[in-house]
Amino acid sequence: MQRLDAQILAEVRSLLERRWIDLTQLRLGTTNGVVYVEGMLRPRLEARDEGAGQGLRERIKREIESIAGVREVVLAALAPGEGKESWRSVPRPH
Amino acid sequence: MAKRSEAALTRPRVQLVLDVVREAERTLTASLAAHPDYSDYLNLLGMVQLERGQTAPAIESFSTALERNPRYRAARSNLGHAYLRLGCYAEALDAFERCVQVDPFEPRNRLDVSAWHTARGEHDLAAAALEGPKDAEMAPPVLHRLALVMLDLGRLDDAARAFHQARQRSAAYTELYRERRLFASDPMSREAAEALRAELEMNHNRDEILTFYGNLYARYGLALEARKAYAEARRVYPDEAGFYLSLAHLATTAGSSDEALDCLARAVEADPRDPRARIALGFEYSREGQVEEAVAQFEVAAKLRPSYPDVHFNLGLLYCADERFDEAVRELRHAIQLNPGYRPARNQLAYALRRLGEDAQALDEYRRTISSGLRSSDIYLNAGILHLSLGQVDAAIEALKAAVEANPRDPLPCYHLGLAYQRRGQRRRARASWRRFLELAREFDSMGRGLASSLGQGT
Repeated sequence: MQRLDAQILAEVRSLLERRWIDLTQLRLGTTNGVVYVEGMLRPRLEARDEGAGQGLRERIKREIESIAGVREVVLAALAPGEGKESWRSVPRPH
Repeated sequence: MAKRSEAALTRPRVQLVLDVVREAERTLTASLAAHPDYSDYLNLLGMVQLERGQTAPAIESFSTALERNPRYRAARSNLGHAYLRLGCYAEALDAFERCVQVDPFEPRNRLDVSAWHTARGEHDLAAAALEGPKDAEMAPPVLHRLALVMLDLGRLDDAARAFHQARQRSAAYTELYRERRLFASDPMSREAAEALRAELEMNHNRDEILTFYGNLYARYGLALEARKAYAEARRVYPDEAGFYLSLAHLATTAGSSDEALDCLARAVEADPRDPRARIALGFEYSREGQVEEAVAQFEVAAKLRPSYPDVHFNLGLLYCADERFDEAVRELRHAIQLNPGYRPARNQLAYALRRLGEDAQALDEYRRTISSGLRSSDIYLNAGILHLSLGQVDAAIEALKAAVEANPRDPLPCYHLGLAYQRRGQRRRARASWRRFLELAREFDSMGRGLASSLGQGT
């Protein structure tokens, strides 16, 4: 499982990089297949078609959930336009 | 057939054309509306304004960036160049001298002061400004600039020597001089050298905005234009590792992991002391499951940047993957020492301690993780299991109930909650938990069959 954790974390980073998310604003972790994302979910470049706020967060969450080996996503990152930080556990449906 | 070919040639083609300067301004303005405090956006916007000849607004952008972050060296340097453009020499010099105070060893500072003297026609002083500490090796961009200043002074031999040294130390200058046929004749083509002098970009910080343009092109899928912009940035100020990192990112966004890996390897080769390249290559190896290679990169990165908590965290994660838990604990503790609020690192530390059999310490770290606000079914489950192993049955039940609540679809907390109820002598609750486990745990067939059998016997 742990070998997979390091792989999962690298995969999550790669996904966020492909989606032009600013990784310098995030702290990521993966333990036992559970992905933790905290910080600010800020796009590196605001494109015209960029979803903001909850939409961006939900999209990123779904994409992380689809990575092989991910059991659960704990998304505590704020997206642009969102207010106070809130920790939410988002279980992956079995 | 011929007619069809002709028609194909004359048919209007759809082509995406991006006015990158305008798009950069729009993007940065939108970003600043969302994040008015981000000084990096202000600095980039100022550079775009300089590109558009809007010097006064640019000065305002750089000044605001510096209000937000007075130690922002690049914004201070850009402010100096904006003043220089207006002929405000005193203000420009003040900005450049402050850059030295922020980072005395940054080679770009010498380019700034040299550019200031060049703008005033003080070529001797422009050359002197490029000299660094005694016996220190000059960075290639400084050597390139020195060569051009030597041309200003009419010292062709010295110019050739400096060009030659820049070429020896930088692949970017090797390519540039070859392309311009600088050394096609012996000892040096004066015409080629003068052409390079005419093209000189006095503001060496322009590589940052060119890289930003490259990213914008890449964002819109215009890979060719992106590559051109990155190459132009490299010409303005060769940062070999940065150049290959940009290309690696371009390859990653295009889904070409082999090309990305190749670019990252070239970034490390170009500058083995660049931690960004080491970290990026480490992640790429990690993604491929090449743990040993990833560990090697992160170990070097940790030596290069011992104060980066992320590097220690990822090294700890990789040591866990390699079952080197003692080393993992050391690195994870280091990450937390550097950043006590690093919650994923504390969670991973708890995991590594548990694997070492240090149950009490592991439980302590899980408790701290939970009280810091990082919670998941997995964290509660592990805390519950440890409570149970330490004979703290009530606490175990509380934690395991929280695990079930956090992820009601996960069978494992139900299983362990059943064990905890059994330890407390609450058989009915234990059976209910295990039934729930069986409902959820079809994939755990072997474990489930054994349990079903014992339930059937009235356990």
